[in-house]
Amino acid sequence: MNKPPLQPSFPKASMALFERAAKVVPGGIYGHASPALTVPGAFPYYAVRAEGCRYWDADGVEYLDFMCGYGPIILGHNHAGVEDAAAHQRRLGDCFNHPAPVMVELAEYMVSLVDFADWAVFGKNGSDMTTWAVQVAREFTGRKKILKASGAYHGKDAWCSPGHGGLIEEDRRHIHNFRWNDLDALESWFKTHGEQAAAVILTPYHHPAFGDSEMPSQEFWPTVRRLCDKHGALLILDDVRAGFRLHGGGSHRFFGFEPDISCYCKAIANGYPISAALGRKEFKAAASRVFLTGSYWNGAVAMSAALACLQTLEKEKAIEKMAAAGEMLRDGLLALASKFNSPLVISGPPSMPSVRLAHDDNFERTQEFCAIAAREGLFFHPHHNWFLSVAHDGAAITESLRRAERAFVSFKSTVS
Amino acid sequence: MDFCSHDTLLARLHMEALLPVIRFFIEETPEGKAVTESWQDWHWEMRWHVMGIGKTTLLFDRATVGVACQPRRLHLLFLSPFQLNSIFLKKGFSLPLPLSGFSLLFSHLPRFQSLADQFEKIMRGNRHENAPLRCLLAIKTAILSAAVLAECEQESHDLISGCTPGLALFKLGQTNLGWIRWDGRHATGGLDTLPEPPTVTVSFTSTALLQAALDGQLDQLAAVGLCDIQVCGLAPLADVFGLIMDRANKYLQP
Ligand SMILES: Cc1ncc(COP(=O)(O)O)c(C=O)c1O
Repeated sequence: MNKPPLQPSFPKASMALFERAAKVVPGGIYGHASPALTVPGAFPYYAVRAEGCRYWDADGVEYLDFMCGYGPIILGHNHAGVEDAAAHQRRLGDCFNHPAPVMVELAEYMVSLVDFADWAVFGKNGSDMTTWAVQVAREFTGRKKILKASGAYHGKDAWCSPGHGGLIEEDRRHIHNFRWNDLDALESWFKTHGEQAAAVILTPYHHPAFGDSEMPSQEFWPTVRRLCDKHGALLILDDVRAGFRLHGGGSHRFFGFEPDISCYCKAIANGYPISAALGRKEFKAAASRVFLTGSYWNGAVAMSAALACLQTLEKEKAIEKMAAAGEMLRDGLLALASKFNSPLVISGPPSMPSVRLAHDDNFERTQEFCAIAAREGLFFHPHHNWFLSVAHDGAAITESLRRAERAFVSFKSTVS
Repeated sequence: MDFCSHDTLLARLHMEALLPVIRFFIEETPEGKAVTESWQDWHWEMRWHVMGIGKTTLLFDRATVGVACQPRRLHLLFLSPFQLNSIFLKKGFSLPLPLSGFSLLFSHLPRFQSLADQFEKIMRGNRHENAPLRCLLAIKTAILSAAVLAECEQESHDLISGCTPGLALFKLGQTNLGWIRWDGRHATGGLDTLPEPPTVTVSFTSTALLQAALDGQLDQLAAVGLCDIQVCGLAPLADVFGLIMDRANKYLQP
């Protein structure tokens, strides 16, 4: 019995690296970048360089990038303004015994951007902030229970990890789930657990892997807010993925509600490692009592990059540009899908679309299509929402659609 | 959801996982066929009936015999799961009630026992002897066990209950090993015809990989990345079934 032959165009250097990695790294590549979560044998495994909305893999093959590093790249890879700010700070120093002045500047700037917020703290990854925010809610309320939406991702920590290894029952004893948009379930949970409820943590809309994105119903956010207020629980917005891609003031503005604490990460520094949590003044004292630090958490380069990135987003009208590019991509893909009689389901906001073939609930045909698209130099993910950046301009989308058309032609021929 | 007692769970594993794999052993493998070769009577069936659980039938029927009549039946009633388990665990032996085929009890029950001994010898024997066969029998047992566990064991049910319904098919090369289906409330499993197209297919490219997976020694993510295991479709469902399959060892020691 043999392995099936790899696709003729399979990036050989990626596989050669992966064969070495598999010997010295558990999983070869772990986490969200694991080939197991894409289409192994059809997607590149290692990237070498990137520019704007393109990147090149270990074999030198160019891809139009519709994942943007799974979100962080919002202005485009290697953005000059952000790189200059980072380089300037790097020359001064990055890892000191103290925070650099830029930390204060960044906190002030973010607090000015996010309307409900009075304070900001910083970490490195989204999980740092979601886990810490949950602790702040517990500290403030003196309660234990946390409610989240089933299938929502809030990070790699034990209370919410989608993995199973290394967990103990106690890790999730006080973590409860309800189905997104199921307001009856929400009401009924509060009826039963309201007095023990520390927080509800939710993403601004539901963007599960292996599923369509789901927008909140009209009553969703007002009901969540009302129930949290009624029962004295905090409303934590996990805006790690969508933050600053939907609205320049945070995604709660896009949906018209106010959280108590919100967590950001992906889009705030165009790829530099930094995350942030912002909150209301009522929770500042509790926040100050929840220990928060890490060896690199005061890193000044990432903070400088964040400041430059957020200022550029505002200046460049990034949200409007990404939404327009997303709409152009969506309309173009739907037109191709109808031309080739391979209907697509596209859900979620245009700048973060979730795309799959219709009548393909198990994603198998979508995986085939995305594998073919990869051969055409398109990094389309088969079961995770995509990300657009400001660098995805009209020309890039036009070129992507041309490549997508070729992918549809090949896909059609494999189906028939 | 009511979960089973340990005895009931074990009895269901014996009835719904082990016996069907023994059936596969005698019907589909040369080693199993060799055990039953010397039998004179080749047209009988054994019906295992455990109060409160249900029935499983093993039919010993050689196609070449071409007998049209009904097979002779040894129908054994076990008054409790414990009574059934003690036969499999060889912990004491209290005779089940023969509801029919009393005359076969002393001639044919020992036949089954020699068959079961042979099965056990392969499963527990030297790791390097009969490795491919042992691996095949073990994975099939694990697949069917996972369906029982997802139904009856709290931990397994908790794992599966968050999953999108669907059917996971496990293959070795082009050969189907078995399937497990979760409909959102109940789990079922089988070794032969699929009741619906698979939601996810997991194909191992070699017995050695399968063995490593069964032994908990496989870096599965790396194996998938290397295309040594192919996963097609809704991967999270297969992951969860894989975790539940691992739990079967807790009950059925290989
Ligand atoms: C909504 C959401 N929350 C939290 C996280 C965790 O962020 P990180 O991977 O940076 O820890 C992610 C990461 O994808 C996410 O999408």
